[in-house]
Amino acid sequence: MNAERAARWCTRAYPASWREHYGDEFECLLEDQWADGHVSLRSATGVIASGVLTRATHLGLRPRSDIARAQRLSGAWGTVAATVFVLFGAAIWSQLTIGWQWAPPSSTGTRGAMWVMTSSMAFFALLALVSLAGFARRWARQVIRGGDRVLVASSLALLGGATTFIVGAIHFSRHWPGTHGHPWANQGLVPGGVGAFAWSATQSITAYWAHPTALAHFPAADVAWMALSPLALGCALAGLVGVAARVSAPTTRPLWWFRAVGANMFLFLFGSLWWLVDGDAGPRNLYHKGAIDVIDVIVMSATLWWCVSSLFRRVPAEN
Amino acid sequence: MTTDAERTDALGSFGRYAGPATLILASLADGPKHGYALTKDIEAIASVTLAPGTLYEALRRIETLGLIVALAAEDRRKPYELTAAGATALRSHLSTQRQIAEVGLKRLAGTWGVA
Repeated sequence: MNAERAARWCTRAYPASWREHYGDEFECLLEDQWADGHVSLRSATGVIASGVLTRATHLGLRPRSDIARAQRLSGAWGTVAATVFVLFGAAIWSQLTIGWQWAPPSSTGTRGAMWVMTSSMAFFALLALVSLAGFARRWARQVIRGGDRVLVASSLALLGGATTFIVGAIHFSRHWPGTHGHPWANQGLVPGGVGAFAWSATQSITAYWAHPTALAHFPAADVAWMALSPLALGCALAGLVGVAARVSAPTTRPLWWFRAVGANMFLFLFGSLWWLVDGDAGPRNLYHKGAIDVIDVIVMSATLWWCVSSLFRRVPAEN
Repeated sequence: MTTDAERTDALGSFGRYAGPATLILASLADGPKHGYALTKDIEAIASVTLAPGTLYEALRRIETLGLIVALAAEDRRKPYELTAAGATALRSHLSTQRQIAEVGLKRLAGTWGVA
């Protein structure tokens, strides 16, 4: 076999996207090395083995590099931590929002805390939209290009989990006690529908799990939703981690984005603590603090630490 | 986003590719070279023959970090050039290596005598 043919044949061991970038020059290098007409079997085997390993890397079966692996793990843990934080935060915030729909808080502390938490929730939504907008086009382009089965599976998990979670939350929000035909509905800081959605989406985070007798009085569909919604969210989250690991690698998110997420988590936690230490339970005990709220704040503090330590760890970026 | 400090530390985090990456950067320190010229130069300066797969994996990593940049291809051969960040990273890495070498040699001389 002549050097040119052998070089072309060996280079085919590499994935198409790699060949698109390095293929020509790589073939030239092999041709130059094998220019005397004697193709080294050892060298050719080495090239093919490297190509197969690179294919495995592109399929996600091997970490892209030591740096990329560290980044991917860091990003995945950060995403999981931030989502858990927002979920537990939304559980507290939605209860207080429901309270405000019935009657505004009587203390300045609870009002201030609610303003802080509501602003922070709005900022979380904005950050999610901004990152989705910057991400969706690359994601769609990579899925359409095809050839990446892991990306397709992750995308299906993300879309399936998110759709189930959102549709379920909208469906069950119709039973929301905050607006259930009450004439004072929508007098809170946010429209009643937003509060209802947050309440429904976080129904799984409740003290009722510790009181099975009370839970037994709930309609079976509601209990099923409380049990299954975390699974749907977990499925979406696993898909998101898989998609982010494959799509966002070429363009790492800017540092300001991570700082904004971390600062906003601190802001929300501050609002939650402010409300917890405010002694006033408000009119008709609507702003009462329970053990579940203390647990919520503990979980948020732990996830904030987890998120900050993973997102702000000094990991050399891929580009 | 990669900071200068991260680029400077980058070679240390390359694992088994730290050696090839250092050799490539050192080879490019006197001007751009394409793949084959790089392997020949590295053979000359370090008596190390980099396998094509190793060479291109190391090239991909340091190119991704912005330590080198690909120039326009000349007859399918794409030369690579050291960037300012690459020069800083190489200088920092080699200074550390020199320090280790000096200490090691000094200790060897103290214990085993001068060769």
